[in-house]
Amino acid sequence: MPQTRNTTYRRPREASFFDYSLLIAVIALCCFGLVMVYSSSAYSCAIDPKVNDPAYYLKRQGEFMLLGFVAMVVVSRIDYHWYSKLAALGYAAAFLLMVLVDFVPGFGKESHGKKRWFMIAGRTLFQPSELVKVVVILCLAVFLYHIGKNLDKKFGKALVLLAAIVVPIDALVIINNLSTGLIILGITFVMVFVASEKRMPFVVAVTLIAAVAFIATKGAKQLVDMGLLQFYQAERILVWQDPWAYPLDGGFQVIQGLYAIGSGGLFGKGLGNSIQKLSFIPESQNDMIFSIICEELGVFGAVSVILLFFFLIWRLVVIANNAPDLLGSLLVVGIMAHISLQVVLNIAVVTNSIPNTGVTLPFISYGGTSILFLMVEMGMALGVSSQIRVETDV
Amino acid sequence: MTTFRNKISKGHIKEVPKPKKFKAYMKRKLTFALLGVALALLLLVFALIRIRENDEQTYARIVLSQQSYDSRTIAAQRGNITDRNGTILATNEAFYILILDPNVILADEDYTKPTIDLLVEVYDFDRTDLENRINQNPNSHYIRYKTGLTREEMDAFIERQTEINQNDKLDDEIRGVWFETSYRRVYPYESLGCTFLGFATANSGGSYGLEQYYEEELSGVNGRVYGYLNDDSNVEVQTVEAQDGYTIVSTVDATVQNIIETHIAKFMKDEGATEVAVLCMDPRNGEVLGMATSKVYDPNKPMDISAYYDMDALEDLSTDERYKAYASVWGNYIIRENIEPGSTSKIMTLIAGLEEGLVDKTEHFYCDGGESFLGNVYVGCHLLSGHGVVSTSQAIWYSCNDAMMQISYRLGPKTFADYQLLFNLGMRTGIDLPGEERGLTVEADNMTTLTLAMNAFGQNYNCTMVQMAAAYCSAINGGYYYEPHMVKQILDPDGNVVKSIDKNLLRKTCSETTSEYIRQILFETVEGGTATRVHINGYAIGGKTGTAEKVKRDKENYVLSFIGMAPVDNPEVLMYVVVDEPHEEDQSSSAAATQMFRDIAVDLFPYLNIKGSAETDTTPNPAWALPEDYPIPTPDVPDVTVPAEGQDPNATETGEGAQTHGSFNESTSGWSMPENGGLPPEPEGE
Repeated sequence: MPQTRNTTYRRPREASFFDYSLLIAVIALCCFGLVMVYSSSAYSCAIDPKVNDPAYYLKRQGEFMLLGFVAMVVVSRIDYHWYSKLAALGYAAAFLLMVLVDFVPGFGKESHGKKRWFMIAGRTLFQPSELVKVVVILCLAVFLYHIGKNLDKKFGKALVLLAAIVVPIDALVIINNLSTGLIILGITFVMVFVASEKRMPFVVAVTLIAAVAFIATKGAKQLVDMGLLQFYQAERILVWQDPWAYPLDGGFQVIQGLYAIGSGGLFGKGLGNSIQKLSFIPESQNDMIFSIICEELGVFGAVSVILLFFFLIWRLVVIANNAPDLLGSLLVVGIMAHISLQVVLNIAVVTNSIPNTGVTLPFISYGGTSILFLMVEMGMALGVSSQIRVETDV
Repeated sequence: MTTFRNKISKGHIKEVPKPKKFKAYMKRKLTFALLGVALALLLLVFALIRIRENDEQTYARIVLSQQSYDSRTIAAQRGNITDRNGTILATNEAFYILILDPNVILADEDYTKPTIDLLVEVYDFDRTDLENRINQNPNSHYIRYKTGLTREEMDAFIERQTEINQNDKLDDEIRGVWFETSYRRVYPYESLGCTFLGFATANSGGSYGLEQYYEEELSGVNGRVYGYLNDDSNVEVQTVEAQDGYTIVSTVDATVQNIIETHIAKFMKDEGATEVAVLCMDPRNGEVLGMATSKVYDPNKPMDISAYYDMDALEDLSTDERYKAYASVWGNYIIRENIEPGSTSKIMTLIAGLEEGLVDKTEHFYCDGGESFLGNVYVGCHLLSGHGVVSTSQAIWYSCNDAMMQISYRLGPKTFADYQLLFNLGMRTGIDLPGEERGLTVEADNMTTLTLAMNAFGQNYNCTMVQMAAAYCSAINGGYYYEPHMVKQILDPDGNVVKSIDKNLLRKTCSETTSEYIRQILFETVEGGTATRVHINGYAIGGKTGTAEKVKRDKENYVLSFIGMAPVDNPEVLMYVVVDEPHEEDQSSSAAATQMFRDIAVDLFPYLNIKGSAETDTTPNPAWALPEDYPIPTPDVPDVTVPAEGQDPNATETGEGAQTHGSFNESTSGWSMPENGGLPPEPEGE
């Protein structure tokens, strides 16, 4: 494999660039997230005799954010060409962790019936599936960078190689977390789509996926009977189509989320005044936090948050367009795909536009591992932005 | 505008390949992706707006209606009743009510069977009945399935429930079962003090006695959990904590009560009577020290009156008759029974004469055995042959009716009636017990000479025992009429004094001199008059017998009484014993009441530390101390499982009552023989 070359050029001193807009958008989202995590969790924490501290989740989220902020600053100072050489190593490490969590007893911690947490000697550490996202973005960027034009020239062969990289590790992720697995596939799709000059294969793929989704939604019951879908996966589709038919199963959360959004009105009930967070939406600081935002801050607040996310995504697109080389661009494209997918999917779930999948809202939902690796990704994007050279007119 | 410029010299290009760049088609595709994201977000915004527009009102209503904060009551704990030394006479015991929530139990198959299985396993319920109750009320959230569970029984279920719910290997979950705390009234000494305690039940509060009279103080204020919508249509949930009831500290001494009750029980067993009642007071302040009758029941089981009635026969009676039967047991003879006091009331006639200056201590009366009225009615003295010439004192010693009738003529109806009112006869004393009677007196205008004459020795009018005892207290304590009372203090649940009930002086009934004279002649009556039987070596006791012929006047049924006090020079205790229709051949000559007074006094006076002379053993008999191992329940406060939005049951600890017994104040003056001392002379005439 050819080596990345990166340090041999000598560039004349020019004004260096750092994307402060992105940084400010990230900080704004994090701070808003902290407020919402506190608002949505304070009541249930206060009445939980095991916790008995209204600020319990706020404190933990705050700790992880500080840690993540440090990680972001450190990563942004590192040249991305350097750590992209470690992509293979990262892949191996992530693969090993996923195997340990999935298959080796003693390393996986069960939560809500799924082993998603990596633990050593009884201490819960983090969710390896979040690490996989970062590693896959890095590996794909490096891979696409290296095959370059060959992606289009030998499209079939490139796809096979691509599958060889993504499928094994994604299979391990899908086993314990379907939605994260799907997001990784989505990231892959977007990165390849951007890197390739072709259009038809992607149009065909999207059409196929849409057709499969259409059939799945129409014939979910039949598919379950045929054993093509697991019951709990089909159940989500059934619940999505008519949540009121399953008020005590999966429908409960969706219905209560819709009640929250609907009752919020245009400007909401005011920060901290959600009723639904008082035990009707379980763990409202997690996936369903957007419904609490809608209830407390109304459509106005929800649209503001969406605009802030869009601003962040747009900044990532700007960085990708101006990155010093293809590697940096693809890296940022992957990050942008990741955040876009999570935001869109999370809000779609909350509004019951798609079946319920456990996708967190970036920077806002509670979750230590998630916030940590998101900040690492932001550090990468900022690192790429800092290598943009700006021509000054003076 | 920021642009990327890769400045690589041409010389380098051959050695180092040109770095791959983000090409224009890539930028286009990325822009396309960005537009896709924008479109998706836009659609989601529309979805949000659609939810709001279509359903805002509906959803807002649903959200509010889900907050089903039906107001719920938090039970307050009833206050204790203690005796004057803190011995707990009435308290509470916590128990638990098993509540089923069929709606939750039936919500999931993983709940239904395990929950029913566990209920049957722990409580041995009838499975069919349990399943029927649950299946027939699928939408109910509240079924009181079993009440009266102990703490242990409740814990047994919760323990197994936690065990099963924490077992992740099982899908089974125990749901939809919770417990409510409630309190049951407990009287640890069972029937002790039932005469004045009454009883209380959870539903109807206090009935009879202190439980009824102090209902407001004892019951406390139930707490409440309720929700309301405030101005911003937000649900506000308010919890008003229950305020536990106040503790009532009675003036009664449990040991005094025990002594009296034991003697009554012994008498009822050995001799028997229609009713026996004893009232023991402190004449210095009107405090009741003991109050007991022969109608004994266990306030823990007030409906069980099988000692007096055949319970099966009681079932067949009409409601009215059944109520009367219960009332006859629960009612308090001492405050509600109008009796003719008989000769004990003679001192009041004498006091009236002395106070009005119509009778002189040194004069003499001639008793010829009776008086004739209008030629055809003859009212005899109890000694039909007549007492002959008696002095004023002797008229009391020998309980001479004739002398009293002669005094009544001098008083006349008006003055006599005034003195009756002065002694509170015909009016309620105001004792803090429910159902007090006022007695039946004859108004001055309606009083014939015959009535007046008979009233003078305690016949033809009625009064209650508490009226007579309170009147006597004033006659011997220097003339101070104190309102008789049962309660000393009211304490809040933390033991702070909320109210102190002191002696309440209503009026002056006679002068100090007259009172001293009355004490003197009562002492002489015991030493040499009609009550010599009462004499206890070493104690200076004063007292007066009474034998009232009951209304038929057929010389068959009598109310026998004795009222006495000690020590004579400064009475610390007054005791009034009434034996209504003793089961004897000749009731009129019965000494039942006198004898009972003496029997009780022998045990009571040493306990009360009544001043005695050296020749008597005045050490209290240790047998009268209440046993230490009476089971005083301590209502404990458990962690009760409540529904998610529930509240903790209101909780307070009740301290254990002190078991020690205080002693009365030492009398201030030493023992001295009365000045006019010496034994009275033998009666002159027959």
